[in-house]
Amino acid sequence: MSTATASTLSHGTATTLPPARKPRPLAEFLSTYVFSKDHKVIGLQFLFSTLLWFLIGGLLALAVRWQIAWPWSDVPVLGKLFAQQGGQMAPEFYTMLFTMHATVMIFLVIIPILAGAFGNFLIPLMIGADDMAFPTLNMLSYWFMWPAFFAFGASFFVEGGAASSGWTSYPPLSTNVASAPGSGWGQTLWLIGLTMVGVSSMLGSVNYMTTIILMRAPGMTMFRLPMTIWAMFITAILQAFALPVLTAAGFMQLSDRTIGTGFFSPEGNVVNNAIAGAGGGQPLLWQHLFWFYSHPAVYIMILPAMGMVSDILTTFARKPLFGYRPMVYSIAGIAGLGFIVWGHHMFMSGMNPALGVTFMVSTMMIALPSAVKTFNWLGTVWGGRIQFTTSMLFALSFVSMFIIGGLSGIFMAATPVDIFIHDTYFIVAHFHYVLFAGTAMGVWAAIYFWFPKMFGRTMNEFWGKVHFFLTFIFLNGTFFTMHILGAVGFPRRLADAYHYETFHHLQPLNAFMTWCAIGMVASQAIFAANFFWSMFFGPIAGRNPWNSNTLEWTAPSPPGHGNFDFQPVVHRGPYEYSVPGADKDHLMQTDPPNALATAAAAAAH
Amino acid sequence: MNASAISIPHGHDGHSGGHDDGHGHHGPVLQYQPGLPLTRGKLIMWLFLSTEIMFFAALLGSYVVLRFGAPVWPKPHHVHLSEPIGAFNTFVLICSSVTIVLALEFARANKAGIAKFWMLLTLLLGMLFLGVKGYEYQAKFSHGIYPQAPRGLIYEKPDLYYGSAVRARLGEPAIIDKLKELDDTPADQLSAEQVAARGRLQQIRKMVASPEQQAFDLAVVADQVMPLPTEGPGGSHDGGHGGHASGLNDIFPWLRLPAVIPGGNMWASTYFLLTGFHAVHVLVGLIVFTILLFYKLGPKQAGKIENAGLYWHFVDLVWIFLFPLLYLF
Repeated sequence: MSTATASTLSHGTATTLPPARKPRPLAEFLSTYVFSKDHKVIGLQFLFSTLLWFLIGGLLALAVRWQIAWPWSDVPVLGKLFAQQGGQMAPEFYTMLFTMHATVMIFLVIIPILAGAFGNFLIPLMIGADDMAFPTLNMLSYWFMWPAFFAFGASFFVEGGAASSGWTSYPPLSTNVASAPGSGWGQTLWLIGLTMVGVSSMLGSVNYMTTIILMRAPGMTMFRLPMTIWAMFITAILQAFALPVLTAAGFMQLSDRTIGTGFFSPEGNVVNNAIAGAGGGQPLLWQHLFWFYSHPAVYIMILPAMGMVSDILTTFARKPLFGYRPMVYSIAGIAGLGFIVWGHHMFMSGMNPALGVTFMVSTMMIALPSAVKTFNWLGTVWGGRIQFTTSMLFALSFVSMFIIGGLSGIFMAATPVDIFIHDTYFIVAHFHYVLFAGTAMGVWAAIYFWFPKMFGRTMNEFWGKVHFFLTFIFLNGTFFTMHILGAVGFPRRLADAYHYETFHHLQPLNAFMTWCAIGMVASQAIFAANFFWSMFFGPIAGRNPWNSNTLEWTAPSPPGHGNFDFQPVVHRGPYEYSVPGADKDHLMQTDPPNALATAAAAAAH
Repeated sequence: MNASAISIPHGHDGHSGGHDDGHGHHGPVLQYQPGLPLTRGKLIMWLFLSTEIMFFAALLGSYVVLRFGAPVWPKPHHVHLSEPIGAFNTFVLICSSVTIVLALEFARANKAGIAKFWMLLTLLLGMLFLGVKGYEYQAKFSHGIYPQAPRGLIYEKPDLYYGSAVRARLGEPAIIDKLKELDDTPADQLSAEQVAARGRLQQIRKMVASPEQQAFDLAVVADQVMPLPTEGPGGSHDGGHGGHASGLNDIFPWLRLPAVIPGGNMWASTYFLLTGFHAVHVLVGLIVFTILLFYKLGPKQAGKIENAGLYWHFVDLVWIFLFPLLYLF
C-alpha cells in the first residue's frame, strides 16, 4: 500500500508535531489502517474488501456456468473443495450457487463498491471537505460490513449450505425451514447478513447527505457539484428511504423463521407432507416489500457509476458536459420514478391487470430520463478531442453497454412481452448488461481514473487496454448470447434445463458462453497484477495527471490527512474544458474568475 | 440555530470530530459554503429519523395488508387488550415529550439542575411506559398469546387439531395429578364459582375423551376454556355471557389449555412486531437519557438534548399511530 508515501506526506511537517509523543507502532498502524476514521482509508478498505468478494462472486458464477454448459460433469476445482457426490454438484447445490452469486455481487460488491468505496473516497475530496461530517459513524459503516461478510461467508459451511431461495428470498421457500436444505441456517445467516448490510448503508447514506449539504467548499453551490457527487447524493437519498423497508421485511422474515410468526406463510401451507406453521400470512407481501427496496436498489447500483462516467467522459473528451442541469434532473427523475415501479418484478406473481398496466407505464417512463442521460453523454463526446485512455475506453463501453441493457429492459417492462420472457435467460442478459457491462465497467473506469489520487501512481496503460479489450469481448460473448437463449425460452434458475428436449440444441451455445465467462474471469488476473504492481512501481502521478477540473485534483496525490493543503475556493462549474479564449484547455474549479479575463487581455495586447 | 453557528468551521454540536487518531491536521482548517441553517448533528438526526419513518411505514403497511387480508380479526377484548391501559400509556408518553422539551428549555437557560430534574422525569416516564407495556405483555403471555409457535396456545378454529391439542394437554402427567387433586378437594374448600367450573371442566374432559367426537363439541370446549366476550351495548368487559373471567383457563391458571381465537395468531404476530420494535426504540431513548444524565446539562449540551428530544418525539409519534391502530379499531 501507500504506507511509505502516506507516512512521508503526513510526517513531512513532523516538526510541528509535539516531540514528546512516543511512537507506538502497533497502535499507530491500527488507528491508521484498520480502525481509521479517515474517509480515504475507509474508502480503500471498502475497495479492497469488495474486490475480494468480487473474485468470490465471480468464481461462484463460473461454477454456475459450468453446470449449465456441461450438466452433471465433474467440476474442476469446486468439485474437490466441496466433494459433493464425487465432484458433481447436486441440484440444491446449484440453487445455492446462483443464490449466493447474486447475493455476493449485489450486497457485497456493487452496492458497497459504489457507495462505500467511491462514495467515501470521493465525496469529501470533490466537494472540498477535510473529511465526512461524522468520521466515527463512517468507520462504523465499514465495520458493520464485517458481520455481513462473516454471516454470508459462514453460511457456506453450515448444515444444508448457504441460502438457496434466490437472492429475492421469496417465501414460502425462504420462510419454511423444511422446504430446502439451504432454507435452514443458511437462510437465517443470509437474513442477518442482509440486515447488517442495511445498517451499514443507512449509516453511510445519512452521513453522505449531511456531508454534501453542509461541507461544500466556499463557492461550491449545489449546481457546481460534479455529477459524481450529484449521483452519490441522490443514491444516498434512495438508500435512506428504500432500505429501511427491506430491513423491516427482513426482520419479519427472520421472525417467521425463528420465533414462528406467520407474516409470509400462507394458510394451509404444506411442506414435506407437514403443515408448516399456523399460516394466515401473505407471501406476496414479502414480494412487495422486497421490491419496494430492491427496485430502487438497482438505481443505487448504477447511478453512482453514471455520475463517475460523466466526469470521466468530459475529462477525456476535453468538452463540457452536454446539458449539466438536465443530467442532474434526469438522475433525480430516475430515482423518483424508481420508487413507483417495483410492481414490474411481479407481473407473473399474480397481479390485477390494471395495476400491471400502471406499473408498465411508470416503468417505461424511466426510459425518458435514461435516454436524456444517454444522448447527453453522446453529445458530450461528440466533436471532442477524445483521449482513448483505459479509463475512457471503459467509460465509453459503459455508455454503449448501458444502451443495450436499457433497451432490453423495455422488453421486460411491457407486460405481454414479460409474460413470455419472464424467468428466462433474457432477464439474466438484461441485468448483466446493466450491472456487469454497465456498472462494473463504470467501476473499472473509475478505478483507472482515480487510482493516481488513491495511491499517487498511475496504472499501466498498455495492460489496462489489454484488460479492457479482453473483458469487453468476453463479456459480450457471455452475456449477449443470453438474449438468444432467453428468446427461445431457456429458463433461469434450473439446475438442468436439458431435461426438456427443446433445449438440447442450446448446449453448444452454453458451452461457448462458459468458455467466454472463464476468459472473462481469467482476464481479471491482468487487472489484479496491474493494480498491485502499479501501486508500488507505477509512474508517480502529479496532483492532476488527467488535467481534470474538479477539486480532488488540486489536492496532493495521495491526499494527506485533512485532504487539502490550502483552502479550496470554488469559482466555476466542474466542466469548463476548452473554454474559448482561456490560456489552457481546462479551467479548474479553483481557478479565479479573472483567469479568463487576463488571458483575453494578454491576447489583446 | 442562528446563522452564526454555520460560519464556524467544524460546527458540530459536540459530536466527535474524529480527528483524534494521532495525526492532527496538516492542512488548514477549512471553511465551508453555507448550506442549510442546521448543525451537522441536527441534520443527520432529521435524516436518520426519515429513515426510521420508512422503517415504521413498512411495518404499519404490512399490518394494514395483513389485517385487511385476513378473513377474521379478533376484537381487542378477545386478545386481552385494554383500552384504558393503552390510553394511560399514551398519556405517559405524551407527558414525557413535554418533560424533554422542558429539559431543553432549562438547559438553554443555563439552569442545569432543573434541566436534569426534567431529564430524570423523562427517563422515569419512559420506564413507566415500558413497565406498563411489560404488564400488558404479561397479560398476553398468561393467556397463551405468544407470537405463535412453540409456546403459543392459540388455535384459529375448534377443529381436530385443536381437539388433539386439548387432549394432549389434559394427558400430561403434571396436569393429570393436578386434576386429580382438584377432583378430590372437598367442595367447601372451593368458592361457588370454582365448584361450578370444576363441573364444567369434568364435562369437557369427558367430551374430548369421547370417541364420537363432533366438531360442535370442540366449539363448546373452546368456549369453556376461553370464552370470547360478545360486544354488548354496554361494551362491558365481563358482563353477561362469555366474560374472560368465567373461562376455565382464568379460574384455574395452571390449566393453560389451548384456546381458540379466530385470527389470533396473526394478530399476535403483528401486535408483538409493532409494539416490540416500538419498545426497542423506547429502550434506546432511555439509554440516551441515562447517558445524558452524566453530563452537566447546560447550554453546551443543548444540541445533544435537542437531538435526543427529536428522537423521543419521533418515538412518541409512532405510538400515536400504534395506539389507535391496535387498540381502537
